[in-house]
Formats: sequence, structure tokens, C-alpha cells
Amino acid sequence: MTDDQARPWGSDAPSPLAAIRQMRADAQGAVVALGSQTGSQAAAYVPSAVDNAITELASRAVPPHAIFVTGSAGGGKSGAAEFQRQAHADRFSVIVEDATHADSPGEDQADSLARRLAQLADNADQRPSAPVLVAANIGMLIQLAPLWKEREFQFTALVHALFTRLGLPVEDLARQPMLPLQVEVLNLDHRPTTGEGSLLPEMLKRLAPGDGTTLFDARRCGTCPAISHCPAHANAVLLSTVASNAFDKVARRAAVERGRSDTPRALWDLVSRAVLRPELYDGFADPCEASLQAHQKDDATFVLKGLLPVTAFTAGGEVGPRIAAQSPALAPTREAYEAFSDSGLLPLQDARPVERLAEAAENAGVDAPALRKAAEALRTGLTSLDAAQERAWRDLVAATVIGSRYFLGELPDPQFVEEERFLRALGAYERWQAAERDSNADTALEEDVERHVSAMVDELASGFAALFGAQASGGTYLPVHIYDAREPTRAFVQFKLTLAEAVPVPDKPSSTNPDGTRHVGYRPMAVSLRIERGLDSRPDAQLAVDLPSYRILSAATRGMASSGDAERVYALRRAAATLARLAEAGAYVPMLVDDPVSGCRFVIEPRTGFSGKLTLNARMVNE
Amino acid sequence: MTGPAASLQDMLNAVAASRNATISLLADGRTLRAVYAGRQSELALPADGTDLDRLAHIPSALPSRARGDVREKTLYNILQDMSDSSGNRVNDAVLRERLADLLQVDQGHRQVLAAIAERQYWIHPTSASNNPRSFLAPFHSELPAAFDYAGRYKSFRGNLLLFLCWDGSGFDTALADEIAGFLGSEDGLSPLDRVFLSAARTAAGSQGPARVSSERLLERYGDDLRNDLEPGAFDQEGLDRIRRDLLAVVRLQLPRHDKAHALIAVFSLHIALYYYRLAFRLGAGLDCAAAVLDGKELPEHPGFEGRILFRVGSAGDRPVRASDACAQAWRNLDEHHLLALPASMVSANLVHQVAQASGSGCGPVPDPYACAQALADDPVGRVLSDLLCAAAAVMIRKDSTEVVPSDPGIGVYALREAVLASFRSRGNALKQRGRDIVNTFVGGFSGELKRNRGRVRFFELDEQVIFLLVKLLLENSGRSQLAFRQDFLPALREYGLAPQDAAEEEFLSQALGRLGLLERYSDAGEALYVRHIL
Repeated sequence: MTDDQARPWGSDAPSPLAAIRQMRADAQGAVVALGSQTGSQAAAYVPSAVDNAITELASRAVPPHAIFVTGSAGGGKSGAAEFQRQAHADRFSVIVEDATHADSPGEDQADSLARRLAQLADNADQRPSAPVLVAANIGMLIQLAPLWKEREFQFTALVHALFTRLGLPVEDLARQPMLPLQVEVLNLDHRPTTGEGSLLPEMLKRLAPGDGTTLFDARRCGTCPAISHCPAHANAVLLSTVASNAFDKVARRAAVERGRSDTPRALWDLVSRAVLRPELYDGFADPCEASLQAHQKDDATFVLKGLLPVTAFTAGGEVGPRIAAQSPALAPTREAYEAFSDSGLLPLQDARPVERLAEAAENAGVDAPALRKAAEALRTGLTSLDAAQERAWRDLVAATVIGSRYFLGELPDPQFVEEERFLRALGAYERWQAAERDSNADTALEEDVERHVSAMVDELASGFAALFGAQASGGTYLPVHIYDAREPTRAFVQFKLTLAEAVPVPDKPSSTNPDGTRHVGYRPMAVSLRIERGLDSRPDAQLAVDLPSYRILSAATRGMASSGDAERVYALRRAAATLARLAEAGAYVPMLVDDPVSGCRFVIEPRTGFSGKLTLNARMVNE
Repeated sequence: MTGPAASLQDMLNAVAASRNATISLLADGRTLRAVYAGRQSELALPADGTDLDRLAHIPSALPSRARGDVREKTLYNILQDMSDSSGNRVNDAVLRERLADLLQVDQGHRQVLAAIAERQYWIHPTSASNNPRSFLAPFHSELPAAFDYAGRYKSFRGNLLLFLCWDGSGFDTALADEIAGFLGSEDGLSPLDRVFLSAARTAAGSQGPARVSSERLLERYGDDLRNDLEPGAFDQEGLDRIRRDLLAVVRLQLPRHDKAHALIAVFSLHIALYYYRLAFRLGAGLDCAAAVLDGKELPEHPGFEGRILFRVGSAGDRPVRASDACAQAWRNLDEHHLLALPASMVSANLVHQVAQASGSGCGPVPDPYACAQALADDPVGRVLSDLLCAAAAVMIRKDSTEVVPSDPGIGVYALREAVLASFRSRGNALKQRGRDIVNTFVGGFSGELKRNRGRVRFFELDEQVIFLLVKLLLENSGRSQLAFRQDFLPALREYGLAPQDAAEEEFLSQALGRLGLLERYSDAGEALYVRHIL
């Protein structure tokens, strides 16, 4: 048999799956270099509000002298710079990457960049007529600053402007430059990459099979007899259509869980792993051959293992584990229980969710033959009587059923019910912060944030009391004063935590770089609350409530133990200590004490008599 | 020479012959005289085990021969030594008995409040190795000033604080006065604290607040400590760091109870680190001296920086193996150096005497590395010193009725082994003077530096220690944030602390993140900054 007989597709059409595999973080295609973008990278690039913002800034009548596009590795800095180079190169005096190689052997990166940015120096005798566009990794900027200082390059004003906008600690005062210096910083780490209107939904659309100009070049698929055994093709179809929203939703939740947006590179890595399950495809130089082999063996298990309902929750990489933790198969729901208890016993029933998924794809105008193949396999059920095979099969069926139902939107979201209060507060806080930044907050918005953040703060107060303190006689108490760390405290102080004590304040990115956050469409991942106004030049005491911290406190109100996240609990304990200290500052604050003998609780209220002497009055409480 | 003396001289002759030198025991039976290449040198040895114990102390390194005790008691003792009222203290049992009558609480609830106050304001040690009697928490200086506790042990007293105040030329008493000021004030006292303190004043019959200051410390210990330290402190850099950090803690903007905790925790952590540092410097210094006396090149000065390789204790349940770097570091520092501390001090003192007798300019402080440095360029002095050390080892072995090897080997090693054997023959003498002290300060319930898991012992930092270190390093830097890799980790190394490997650095950064002590400006390693919370 010749190669052409073994491979039914012609040699002209490239493997669409190879292009998707190239998007993995560890693949060459993951890194964009200025001026040498590949075809796949061009097809995968999703223009966003950031690109428009850069163009708009550069097109102003009085543009800034420099536009720095910063962020983490894989954040899309070079892609954004390349986009401008291709579309609007004439609007910039120079476009520079921080990873730019030196032009001579005796010159290193710090020297090279200093030379290219010479017109931005303190002592420059003229500023660039058009902006300098710089794509710069934040870590690199942090390293460059001391190097420039050591080598006596005069960039103090530039470094000061960059560090201030990035919220980084500034050590040196900026020297007054000879000429004014206008710098804009667009930090791509603050760009939302998941959620409605963000990058991921657009990235998923790029997976739609199409002609030679698209990322998924499906010309080969048209003649491929293995299409019915190609879960990767079906996954691309699903993710670009009916599964897009659900996939984006879990990715957004994964980012909130982390407290930071994932980079486009990390998301492409996730998508690539979800489309082409590495365990199935990595052993083949041309990944299409994996599907072809499954077709030749009529291996339906290969199809089921490689389909999105399973792969979405088993992808590794940086983001995958956070998505796996949200698998509906792990949720304590009736649907998950039934999926596992019934799987493999009623084959016709097992096949229905996959059939519905195939119908949904067809209704969206696309065809995914592998879904029909999977449904057929589920309808047939397992023919082997081997017990080990049966168990593996039933697990696979259950994961497929529950995953399919998730993407069909048929499952309740138990986590969402518990976290709803936080997510609503976060949404309201996001809108309020944006309005505050743009000075267009109105009464309705303020009432909205008050309602949602207030509900969250009430939950936090109960959580603090449940986790570290006590609730009695309608009051909430936090522990104070035990000088012997070996013993539990038996004294608590009454505290109040409402919106009056925990005031929402703009978070750091919004306060240090308001324009930059607007340009990148920043969305906060935590609600910043000020719980003590800093006096005597001390900073305010702030509490940033993120999802994991909220979850610990919220679980405590329901009598559930903390999740074993010792450091977060410790940090919350410190927050509780601060709250207790603030409460205690009032000399006559009521306290709650435990009698070590009887276990009874007493509320004690301080008062002063005519003599001015402090006396405590106690009363037993029923709890 | 007859009897045993004759056989001892034979042994000494054999040791000297292997070095082409001669040695003799003088008439007092304790002084050795060595002669080599026309030069002679003498060493007077301890007369017996008690005399040997006398050498197990370096006054310029430690203020006394204290043993381990409950960590809060050290502060209690210090405050007592700083107060004016040493002669008329009442036993705290009196306060405990009368508490229900003295508390300003409505009549019906006095017993309950007294029981609660007893749990809140007395420390109840649980350690089986120490006397488990309780004592008052030193949250206000009036309590130690007015009350004594039962079961006093050989713990550190006010001389420790004054020792730490030595700045190289005199006593910088700002630290002692700041501690006195903080614990003597009424700032941050809760209503319950105030009512308890009022009851305590009545029980003590005090007319007014007892004065607590550094003056009393100077009166009690100033002259003795000045004599010990004027030639130079063994580790001035260590003392300066402790003083700086304790001052930083007292000046922190913290609630009173947190600050009292932090003060005791930082004090404990530093004393433990100081012991490790001292033990390492002596042990490694003796190794260097042994190398030089054996004719080898002077090794590079062994620094303590980053020697305590730790793991982070709070990243969930993690197994540990004896081969892990944190366990190996523990074995090296605790098992090898700290446990041998008294023996190392004896050896260091004897090596110092030997080096001085050989005419080397090794300075007044018995630092074995300085001795090695001084002898490195003196071939004759090296042989004489090596011979005297080896001969001393023979004598000490003989004293402790040990089997004396015909060839004791390299002098300094032989000496240290002989001293160790002598201590081992006397029960717990070794561990009481080093390991027990460190255990009471940083082992146990919180503020941990070391842990056991099964049979593996290792260095591990808990949340409290991490939190405190971050606070201290930020306070001392005068900055609101420190770059994790560029600033924070190098600063930790100066304390002797370092994550056990690159993976542990990552664990540490993750732990700091979950504690809210890390600002992540980007995914790049350089963009991690350690910061305060709240």
C-alpha cells in the first residue's frame, strides 16, 4: 500500500488539526515575533478593543510620545504590535519589542532599547513626532529600570511614568525632563480575555471549519473518509457554535477563581487541548492520522474519549485544571448521580444527550459526523463482558452524558447558586468602578452597587463570625485577646460590618492607570473594600474579596468547614483581627465570654459609675 | 613519673612523635608543654568535668548559661528585672484566689468572669519537659513587676535584653525603653483587660504603677556584661539584626495583643536563629581550624546565609523524605552543630587558648575561624597547636575513663570528639544548652521553624513566621513592597533562611499569594512583589 492509499487526502491540503496543535503553549506557533507572523497566527489573531485604542491614540491630533503595550508572556503584546505594523505602520515613529535583538555584538538588550527609545530620555532635545509603540513584558521592564540606572541612561521620567501606571513600587523620583513626556500604558494583563464580548468567544469562532484562509482549513476534511471518527473536527464545530457560550463561561469562572485573566496564549493552549486531546493525537506527526487509524479500526471509544464533553474537563496545561475542578460530573447534583448510576445500563438513554448535541449543531447549520458516530456507539452499548472494560466504559459514558448535558445548558449550576451573591456584587462593583473612573456614575448605579455589595458584605460578616467568632443575641462577635497562643480565646468583641464600615473603593489598576484600564476594557476579579481609613500618612486598610475567600466565608455561614486553604484562612483571620481591633477601639463595646466550666455564654457590657470606675455587667445568653 | 601518669606520658609521647615534636605534662598535672622547631607552647587544661563545664560558655556570645523555658516567661523575667519593685512581689496565686472578689463585675457573675479571666490572663504551658505551672501573661508590665510565679527555672532574664542592646561600644537602651514604654502603657486595653488589671493592682496592694526601665537592667547586669562584651561581641552583626527587628516590632502599628504576640514571636525566632548561627559558626569554624592545623589551605569563611533550607508548611498535606533538602539542613544544623554547641564552645575556648599560646594574633574573641586565619601563615604554630589539641583530647578522654585511641588523629577533631564524649557521659548535658532552648522558642504550637513528621525532622515555616518575616523585612526596608526574587529572598538569606529548592520558591510565592502578601504585576517572576496586608 502506498502512502496515498493509506492517506486518502491529497498532499496539497494541510492538516487542519496540525494548525490547531500548533496553538499549544509549548508549540512554536504560540509565540508571535514582530514582522514574522505565520499564517496560522494571522488567522488566529483576534482584533480587540485594544487594537482600536492603540490606533485611536496614535491618530489623535496630539498623540502621546509613547504607547507601551505591556503584560505577561503570551498576553498578546507582540500580536498587537504586529497588527499595528501591518495596518497602521505610518502612524508610529518606530515599533519596538522589548525582546528586540541587539544590532551589534557588543550591545545588549538594555543598550539596544535605550538607543531606540533615546527620544524618550530625560535629556532628549526632541520628542518623536509620532508615537513610539513598544511591546514590553512587565518583568523585562522591571529588569531594565535598574540596568538603565546603573549604566547612567537617563530615563527616570519614563520609568516613573511606566511604573506608576503599572502600580509598581517607584523608588526614584522622576527627574524633570527637558521636554514634557506623554506616555500611555495599555496593560494587557488587565484585558478581560473571557466572558461576553471578550477574546475567547471570538477565538472560538476562529475554529469554524472553512477554506484555506481560516485557522481550521477544512479542505482536507471534504474528502476524508475518517470524518466520522474525527472528534477533533466535531469539537471545532461545537466550540465555534453551540458550545461556545458554555465553554466561555467555565473559562471565565476559571479566571475569577485565579483572580487574574488568562493570557490569550494560555487560552489557545486550552482550546487546542480541548479540540485535540493530547493523549489521542500527540503520537502522530500528522494528527489527522490518529482519526484515520480510529476509522480503520472502527474505534468508537476513540471518538467518545476525544469528544468535547469529555475533553473540556480533562485538558491539562495552565487553565485546564481550573476547568476540570468545575466539571459537572463532580458536582453534588441529581443529574451527576444519575449519569453515573445509570450509565451503560440504558444505552438508548445514554445516547440521547449526544443526539441532542448533534441536532443542535445541525440547527446551527453545521455538521459533526463524529457526534452521530458517538451516539451510535452509545446506543449499541458495550459488547464485552470484561468487568474492567465495563467499568471504564461506564465512566466514559457518564462523563459523555453529563458533559453533553452541560454544553446543552440542561444542568443547574450548584456552584453558581452559592456564589451568586459574590458574582452579582462583582458585576455591580465593575460597573460602578468603570462609571467612577469615567465620572458618569448615577443614582441608579450607586443603588445597584449598594444593594449587591451590601448583600455580599452581610454574608462576609456572618462568615467572619461563623469562622472565627460567635453569634449570640442577634449580635456578631469576633475573638480578642488571648495572650496564650496554646489556648482558644474565651472573649469576643461585638462588631458590625456593613457597607458603612466596608466601603467599596476603586482597586489598584483603576486608580493607578484609569485611562489604560478603560482602553483595555478592564474587569476586576475582586471587590476592594476599605475597612479603615489610614491616618497619620498610613495607607487605608483594604480588603480585596475574591471568589476563593468569599467561598470560605460563605461556606462557614452554612456550617461547612473551610476548604483546607490554610493561608487564605490565616489571611482572613488577620482581617478578622483588624475588624475586632476596630470594634474594640470603642471603650464600651459589648463583649461575649464563654464560661470554661459550664460552657455557658455571657454578654458583658462595660459601664462607668459615678465614681468613674469601669464596671462590667454580665447577662447569660441562651445560645 | 609513676603509675597512670607514666602511661599517660607514654601516650602523649606517641602523639608528639607522630608530629616530630615533644610534649610534657608539667608538675601540676594539668598543663601541657609542647616543643617543636625550637618553639614551645603551653596549654592549661580543665581540672575535671566541672572545670570543663566552665569552658562551655563564651561570654561574648551568650549572656548566661540559661536553659530552655516557656517563651513568654523570658519576657516576664525581663520585665521583672526592669522594674523597681523586686523586693516586695506577691505570688500570683494570691491574685488567682482573690480574683472573684476583686473584679469590678456585678455581684451575680463574678465567679464566671473570674474563671474566664483565669483562662485569658494566665499562660498554661503544656510542655512535659518543663514545669507545667502557669504564670501571668506579661501583657502589661505591672503584672511581672508586682507578681512572682512558682517554679522558677534556669531561664534567661533581663541580662538577655541588655546583651542584645550592645551596639559594639556600649548599651543602646532604646530597645529596652521602647519595650518598657509599650508594655507599661494602657493603649489598646479592652474593658476586660482594664478590669483585670485593676483587680491585680488591688491584690498587689500597689499604690501606683511600678516603674519599668532600662536603668534597672544596667544596674543589675551592666558591669558584668560590659566586661564580657568590651573586647568584642562574638556576633555583633547578629545582635544588631535582632535589636533592629525587635525595635521594628515595638514600633509596628498593631493592636496591643497582636503586638505583644509579635514581640514574643520575633524574640523567640531570633533567639532560635541566633543559636543556630552561633552553633554553625563555631562548628564550621572548628572544621576550618582542623583543616589549617592539618596543613591544608584556609577554607573560605563559612557563611550562615541561606543555611536553613526550609519548606512551606501550609501548602496542604505534603510528605517529606529524609533526603529532602529541608531535612538534610536540619540534620546538619540541629543534629550536627546545635546539639554539639556546648562541646563546640569548650573546643573553641581551648583552640583559642592554644592559638594565643602559640603567639598568633587571633584576637580576644574565641572564634575558631579567626584562630585558623591567624595560624594559617605560621607552620610551626600550626604544628604546636595541633599537638596541644591532640594531647588535650588524650587527657580529656583519660579523665572520662574513655578508651584512648593510640592515634587521636587531627588535633581539633580529636579534641571536639573527646569533649563530646565527656558531655555524652553526663546525661542530658548536651541538649539542655542548645537544642532544648531552640525547641522551646520555635517548636510546638505556633511560630514554628522546625517540625517532625514520623521519624523525619525538618525545617518548615508556618504562616505566622512567614507573616512576621514579611512585616519585618518591609518595615526595615522602609518600602511598601519588596520584589520577591530580587529583594525578599536575598533578605531572607541574611537571616539564614532559604527555600529548599526552586520548586519551594514557587510554593513560597503561592503561599504568600494566598496569604494576601504578594502582589502579582504579571506572570513574570520578576514582577512578584511582597507587600503588607491590612
